[in-house]
Amino acid sequence: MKRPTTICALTENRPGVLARIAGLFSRRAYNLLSVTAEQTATPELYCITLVVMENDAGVEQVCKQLWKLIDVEQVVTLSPRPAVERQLVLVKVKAPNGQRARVREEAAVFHANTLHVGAETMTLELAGDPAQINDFLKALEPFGVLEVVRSGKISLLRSDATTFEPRRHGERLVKL
Amino acid sequence: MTSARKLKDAPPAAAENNNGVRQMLSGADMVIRSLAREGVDLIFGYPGGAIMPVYDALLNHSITHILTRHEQGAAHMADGYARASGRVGVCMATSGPGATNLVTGLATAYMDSVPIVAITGQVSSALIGTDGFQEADAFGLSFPITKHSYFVSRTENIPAVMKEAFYIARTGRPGPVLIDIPKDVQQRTALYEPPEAPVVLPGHFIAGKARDEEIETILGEIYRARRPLLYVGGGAITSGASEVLRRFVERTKIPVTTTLMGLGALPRYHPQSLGMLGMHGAVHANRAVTDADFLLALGARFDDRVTGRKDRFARNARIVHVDIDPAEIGKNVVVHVGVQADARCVLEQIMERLETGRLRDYGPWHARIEAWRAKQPLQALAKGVKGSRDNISPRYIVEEIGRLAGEEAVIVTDVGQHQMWAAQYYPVTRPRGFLTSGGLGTMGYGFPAAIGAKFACPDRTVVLIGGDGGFQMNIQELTTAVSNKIHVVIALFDNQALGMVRQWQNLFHDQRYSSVDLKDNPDFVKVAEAFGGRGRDVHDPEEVTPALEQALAARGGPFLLRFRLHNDENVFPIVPAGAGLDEAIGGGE
Repeated sequence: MKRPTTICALTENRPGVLARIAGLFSRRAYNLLSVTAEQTATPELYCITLVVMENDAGVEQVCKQLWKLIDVEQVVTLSPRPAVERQLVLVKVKAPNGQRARVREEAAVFHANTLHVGAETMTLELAGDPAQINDFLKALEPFGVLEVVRSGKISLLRSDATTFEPRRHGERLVKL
Repeated sequence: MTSARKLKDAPPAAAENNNGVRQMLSGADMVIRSLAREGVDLIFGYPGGAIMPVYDALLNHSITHILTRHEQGAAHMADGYARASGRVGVCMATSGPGATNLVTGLATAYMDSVPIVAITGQVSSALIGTDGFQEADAFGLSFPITKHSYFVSRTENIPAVMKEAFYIARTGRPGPVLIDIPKDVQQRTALYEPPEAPVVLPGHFIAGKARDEEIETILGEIYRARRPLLYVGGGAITSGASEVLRRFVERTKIPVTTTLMGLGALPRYHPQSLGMLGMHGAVHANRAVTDADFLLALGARFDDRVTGRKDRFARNARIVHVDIDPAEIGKNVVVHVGVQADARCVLEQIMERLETGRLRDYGPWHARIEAWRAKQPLQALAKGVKGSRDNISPRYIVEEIGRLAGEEAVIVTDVGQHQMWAAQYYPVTRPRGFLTSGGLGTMGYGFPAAIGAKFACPDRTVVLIGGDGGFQMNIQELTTAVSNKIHVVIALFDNQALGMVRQWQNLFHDQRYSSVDLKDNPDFVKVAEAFGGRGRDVHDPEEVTPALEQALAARGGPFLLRFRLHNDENVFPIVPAGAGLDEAIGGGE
């Protein structure tokens, strides 16, 4: 059965890494729901968090193909292991004078931040797990949601263990 | 030419005098120096604006450059060189069209796990991204068709990049690596530091031996099996497993079927060899796969041309899959045991622990296979059938080449019907003796690959078994063969048609022939002669032997034999696409 699975890839920060990964998904027809790439604590290493919609065999193939890329150092599947998950959403909602207080109340319930207040709108920010964000957007619907932008999901193991193992094999010959 | 020769014989250029000592070098000199450090003495290529600094640096060094007549030819020659020798092949081209012309050759090598390093010039850094003259994103183009690739933005990185590229190309599951270098990076000078440190790829390890418990598991499966079968792919050849494979099958008497890429891993007429399986495989080999209760896959990847309908493939067997590339395990077919390891290492480990006394009696299994073989022998098709005028039997030609070319010959094929006839009938006796584009199925591969193979093995006979369609795709390399006095016998199976496509239209499209007629073919013998080679038209079956003898004995250039075939000749047996291996059409009954 296909279900969303979070995969974290630790990659070297080298030209084309993201393009190689994106190309892998398109040419092997894997189903990609979201992707996020950012630097880790080690500047030359990036963490790329992918959410894929695949069955178990599909997830295994995705992981092996990712790992096969020379610039990918480690690949870890998080779900179904317990993990903390966060996504960021920015939402622009209608907030004319009479409605503004109610929008703020709703935002407070979700501990959302107000980023901008305009003449007719408010722009709110919330970081949460995907279900929480869905609830938040639903709660704002009655006010009139004008625009929504969500980031990809990022995730770490919910335990004392680190998601990635420490680097074991030394440094690449080719320095950039 | 004289001046170039003179330079070659001159003492090494200053850059080479101070081995290991830091000095200033141009990027282009670093490229050549790095090639020399990797032991490269021959490269195939085609110059152009963005790679000119490297071509200039070539004049100061002893590396031989073979000027091809098309960049695709250079890539296939590097491929043929690599497959025939087991060494890394090197090709070089300029930016833009030079790089795009390499693409088919790199994709061909990637699909068949052939080690190549391709060097491309790129427009100068300042022009990148501006759609400059002859600019194409060679680096981006390379992603889906290479094992890895580099865009070199700094001159001082060249030595390390080159060393890593060769390492990646030849280790693990080999494959092509592309290095794209902007012109100004080639021209600039920088401090040359020989890359003495070993190559490290963090997070990656190159599979070698299997773990002891994995070997025990495989042995347990072998001991339990009553109808075992070895399914051997190109990985056995890459890993150099032939010798231990032979010892293993002679000790266990387990029958062996090979893929197209695995031909030569075991001699064709070894008693335990069933020949090739798959779409055009031998009937007894395919039935053995279907009936086996244990299948040991060694360095093979369950390609759709091998498995046919997947849910019918080896449906009675427990499957153990040994592959150096873990991504191949479980990719196409669900296996019971997957082992990420080198094929040769695994066979050697098995041999260390094998207790022959625990093997079951395979007598009934052999008898069953022999009964199939006797009923539908591939050989019977050929025996006594030579064909008639302008309708020479392709099977007869293949067998005659096999008889006359000798065991040490290198056979190279193009792609199509002739390729399958060669795969079915050629008596391949040794690894790296049969080169063919198996995965990508690249028409036009054969001739340049044969030239590359001859450069790699100048003392061996090299025969191209080609078709009239594919030969015309890289016919320009006749010049390369002539000017380098490369003796390749071109056995052209000319049926004035795109035979394999025609065969499918014949069998599966109600004989609706669409764009397969090549009756306007040129006079290939005259073409060969116009290029400076020799050739001979062969109309009658009785001429086959003398013509082959003449061509094989010739020296000093290519010799083309145009064999006239009838276009109604089809390749049998054939497992139709989507059918199971036990549902073949034809096969000699």
